[in-house]
Amino acid sequence: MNLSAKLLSPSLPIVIPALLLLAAGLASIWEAAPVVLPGTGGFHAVASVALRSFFGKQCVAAGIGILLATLVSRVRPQRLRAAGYSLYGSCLGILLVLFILGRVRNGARSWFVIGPVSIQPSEFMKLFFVLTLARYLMWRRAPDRLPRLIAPALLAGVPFSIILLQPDLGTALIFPAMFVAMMWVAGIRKRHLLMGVLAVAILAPLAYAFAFKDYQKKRFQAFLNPQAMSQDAGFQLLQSQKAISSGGWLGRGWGESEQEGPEAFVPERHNDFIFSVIGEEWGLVGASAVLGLYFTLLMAMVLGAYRAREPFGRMVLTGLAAGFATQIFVNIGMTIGVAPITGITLPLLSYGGSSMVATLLSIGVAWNIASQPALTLAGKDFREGAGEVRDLGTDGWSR
Amino acid sequence: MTRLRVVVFSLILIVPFLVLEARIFQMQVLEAEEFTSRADWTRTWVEIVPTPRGRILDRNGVVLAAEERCFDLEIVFSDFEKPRVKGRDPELDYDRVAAMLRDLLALRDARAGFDVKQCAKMLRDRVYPVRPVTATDPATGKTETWTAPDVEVLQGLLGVAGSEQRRLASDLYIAAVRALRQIDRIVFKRCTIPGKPASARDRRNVVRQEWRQIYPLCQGLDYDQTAEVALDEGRFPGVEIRQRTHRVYPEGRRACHVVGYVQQPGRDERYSAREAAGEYRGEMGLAADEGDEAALREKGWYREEMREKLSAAEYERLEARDAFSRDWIGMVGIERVYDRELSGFRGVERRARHLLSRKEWVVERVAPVPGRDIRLTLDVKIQQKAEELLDNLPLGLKGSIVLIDVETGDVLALASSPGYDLNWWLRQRTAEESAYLADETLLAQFNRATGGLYPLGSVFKAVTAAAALESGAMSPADHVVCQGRYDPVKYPNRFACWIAAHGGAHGELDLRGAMARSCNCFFFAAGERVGIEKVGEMAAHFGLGRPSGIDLTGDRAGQIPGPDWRRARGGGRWGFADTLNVSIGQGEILVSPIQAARLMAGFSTGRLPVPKLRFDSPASSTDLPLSRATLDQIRAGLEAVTQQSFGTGYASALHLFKAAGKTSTAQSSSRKVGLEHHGWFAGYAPSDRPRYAFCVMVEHGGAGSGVPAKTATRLLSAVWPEVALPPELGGQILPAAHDDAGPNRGAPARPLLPEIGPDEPSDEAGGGAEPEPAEGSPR
Repeated sequence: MNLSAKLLSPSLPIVIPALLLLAAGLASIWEAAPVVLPGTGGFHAVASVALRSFFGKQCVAAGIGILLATLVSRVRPQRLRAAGYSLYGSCLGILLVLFILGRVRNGARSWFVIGPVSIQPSEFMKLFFVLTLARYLMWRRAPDRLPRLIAPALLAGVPFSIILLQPDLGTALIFPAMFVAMMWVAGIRKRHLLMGVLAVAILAPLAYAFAFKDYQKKRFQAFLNPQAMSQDAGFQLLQSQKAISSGGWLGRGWGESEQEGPEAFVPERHNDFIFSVIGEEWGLVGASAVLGLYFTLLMAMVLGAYRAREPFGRMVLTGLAAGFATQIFVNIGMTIGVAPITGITLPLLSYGGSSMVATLLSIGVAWNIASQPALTLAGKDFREGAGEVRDLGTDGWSR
Repeated sequence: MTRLRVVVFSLILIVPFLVLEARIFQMQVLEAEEFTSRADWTRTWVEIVPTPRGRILDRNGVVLAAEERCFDLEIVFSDFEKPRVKGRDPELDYDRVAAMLRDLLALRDARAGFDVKQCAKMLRDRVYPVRPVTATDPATGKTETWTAPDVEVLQGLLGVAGSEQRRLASDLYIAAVRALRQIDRIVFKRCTIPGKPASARDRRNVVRQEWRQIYPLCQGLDYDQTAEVALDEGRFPGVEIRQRTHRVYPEGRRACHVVGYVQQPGRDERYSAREAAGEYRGEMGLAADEGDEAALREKGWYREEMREKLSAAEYERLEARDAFSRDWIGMVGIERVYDRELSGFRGVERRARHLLSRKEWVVERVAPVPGRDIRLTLDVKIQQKAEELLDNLPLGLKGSIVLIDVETGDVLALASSPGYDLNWWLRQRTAEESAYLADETLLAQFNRATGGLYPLGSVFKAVTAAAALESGAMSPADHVVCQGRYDPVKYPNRFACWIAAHGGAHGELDLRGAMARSCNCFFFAAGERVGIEKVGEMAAHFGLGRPSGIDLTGDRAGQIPGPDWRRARGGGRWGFADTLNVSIGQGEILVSPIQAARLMAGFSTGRLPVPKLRFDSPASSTDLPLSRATLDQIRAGLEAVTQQSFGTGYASALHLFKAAGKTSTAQSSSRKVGLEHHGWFAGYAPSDRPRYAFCVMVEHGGAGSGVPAKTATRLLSAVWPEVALPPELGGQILPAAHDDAGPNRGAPARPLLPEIGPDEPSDEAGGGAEPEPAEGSPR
């Protein structure tokens, strides 16, 4: 491939926005939680900054993530396919072990803590689930009958339930979104989809009444009426809205955030509320740019799915795009008051090592698939449904 | 088909982005205003911002009163524990409070032991032992009784040894009890709405609020102690450190009666007295004392800017927590007179704290206005000399010295003995110090220079002479023959000259000779010829009988008797003997030393200056209705006193300074109990070009030609140190060893050698014969 081909390669619209967003995220975290560099101490001091400060940890995570993403993008897709089930299975096991060994943070038992490193396996589960479901659907006929929906629903439902029990509602909610999107592309019937939507509409109030914890109810109430809850759960939301709206057209400029000042203090702003920093400092222009980058990234993934000639790649890209879209919408939505507050990260921007590495891994997978849409040895496109094509073995892919 | 579905999927993905973008646009552009004003997660409160008091300086910039940084400890009870409301009263972990008090106490001395159990029990009952205290104000003579914490009993209960720790222990303890009681009081007040009994819930809420407030605990810690508290927050939960400045008097006793001292106002004392008497519960519902509020306003605390910023409720809260009475107020002296300017204006700050981020910031603020420095006319060098002279008076005599500028009225020295250390007022006094201050034979707090009223004696003869000359009743050429008795034909054996007691007579005298020799007979004749009214008028021209106008507390009028004065007081008929008595300054004449000095300033320049202590205030003086000739005559007489060998003041070597003046030995009724007459010397110097007028007054100091005149000489040697004194005056009375700093500083030094003996020959001046006419005169 020559240079121009490389530049025009379909993977670039994925990689470049991702890197830009990553940079914006690091800048915002620096701003939200600046590092005070130690004057002395040499290597130990630097190591301590890298391991202790938000910014340092995020940089380390981003480095690891970029490395892994690059590796993954070079792997043969068959390997990805092959790894799907085993990764899914082992991650499921880890999620179960979490109930015993996990550490509670923000009310959810979803963390492994090993020294200075803490890992949130549920972040990785999202990717593994997408790989697994794609692989499963790849060999099956289109799920156009209800019985054919049972196995995929189980694949999604098991991790969903486990994560819901941690309880981490925000992360869990990604699974149904990815599931629905992948099933849609796999060919689910519209009436089945409608039935599902109806079931959710009926079950959600019941869940709210019986299954939601108090803090979750409060968050939801705060979303509906932030002022009434301003002493409590609505505080974050109101402060965040205040900060974002103070950004105006062009924002206050980098480093001019008043969130440090007590009056505009946004709790967890380096984390789930990172978008309030962007909104405040870079204004409408910056916030729109970030949205635009996300949109470009998602559209590039969807384009990859469109161009993919075999169902595995198509469904992986669809599932990942759906997951990202959900995360983006829910996270940004909660900072500006169009979605209830859930503990959900903003991909590539929010602080959080597991989220960062998992997101970059997903980007790597998308990069991999999007960069090789054509299945040369098949001789023909995959057509309706998935099940028409048998496995072509390891030679079926060109590089 | 699947590709179509991917397209549909991509279209669906567009929707959330549109929603987000629209919402962001709405927030950042369309409704930007609305969001900024929402949600306040902050707590605000009002704090008083202290400001340093102005300094007091002498004319050369020597600091007499300064400010020093110190720290106060304040306590927030809720940081110990959440209050539990049992029944009616909030409960606290008193053991913990007591233990913390013990720890605070241990900062000063590790040996201090606090009986935690006992202390906790007493804290729970909110008691401290009290005892009645009675004291008399020497200036007004009023006797007051109040109750004060009984430190002795507390010492026992708190189990501490050593006066310093005992004091701190009781201070701390009392502060803690007081804070708890104030909380009670506020809770009671705020929960007592007429006709509506407070619910337990209301009560609990008020208790919670109040326990989060800041109450004073311990004042005036130094840097080291504060550092210990700051470094060990775990041991002192709820203790907050606040920085301010407090008064110090670097010169200690120097010019104590002029500078004066500051104290925290009496409200606290009165209040605690009532508290101690168990009355406070009954008063808890009452509004703030009107008088106290007026006093605050008068003091200028309550500025209009503050009224705008402080709501009535906030003001009341501050008041209830005693935020105002912690201020120090000038009680006497310059501290009192210029209190307004010295104290400046305290500011007020509305502070806010963010409850989540714990950050604190100032919402709005009325900036404090620091107090202004006051520069005095005093010259510390001269003042120091004057005080040393007084402290070293023979036999522990008491007295006062005033030295003023004849032109401007600037007071360069104003000393009164005995004095006291001003710093005693800034802390709790030791028993010895209190006893010294309360000693009625010393009256150490009493400023004798402005408030001490004594019969003036012979100095007044100059006034009589001025009246006689000016009215024409006597001419400079007139001579009077002194036979030892005045007019023995008309008044046999009734009015004697002082010299008669020594078995002699002055013979024929003119005014100059009579002044120089202080002959009574001459001035009896002058007084008889001019009449009491004219003498009284002349005395009034010289400012006698009314306050001198000095900008100092305790400036008293004195009195010049006369027929009208006698009648107004319901006394008897004014007799001829009274007139003669007044002519020589005896009888009921009462004059303060500052008035005498001013009198001399008047003779020296022909204008009567108003003495002033503030350097910047304009000089003012009034012209005396005296002709040049009269003044010259009297000045000649005053000069003869010191500069002619026959003058009564010649032996004191005042002529070395070309001083002029008049000795005086004033009859005091105490003679009967074995005390000497009051001795005066008042004069001015140099006589050819007068610059300073001065007055030395020694209570029961005997003849004016003795100790007072010699003291005056030494005083002038401080003004003109280049003049060499004769050996018998040079430093005999001024042993340097008396520069003591021990606890007995206040006690007047007693030189071994009585001074009167060797000076006997010249001691004739004032004369012991004067009492006879006075005492024998019919009323």
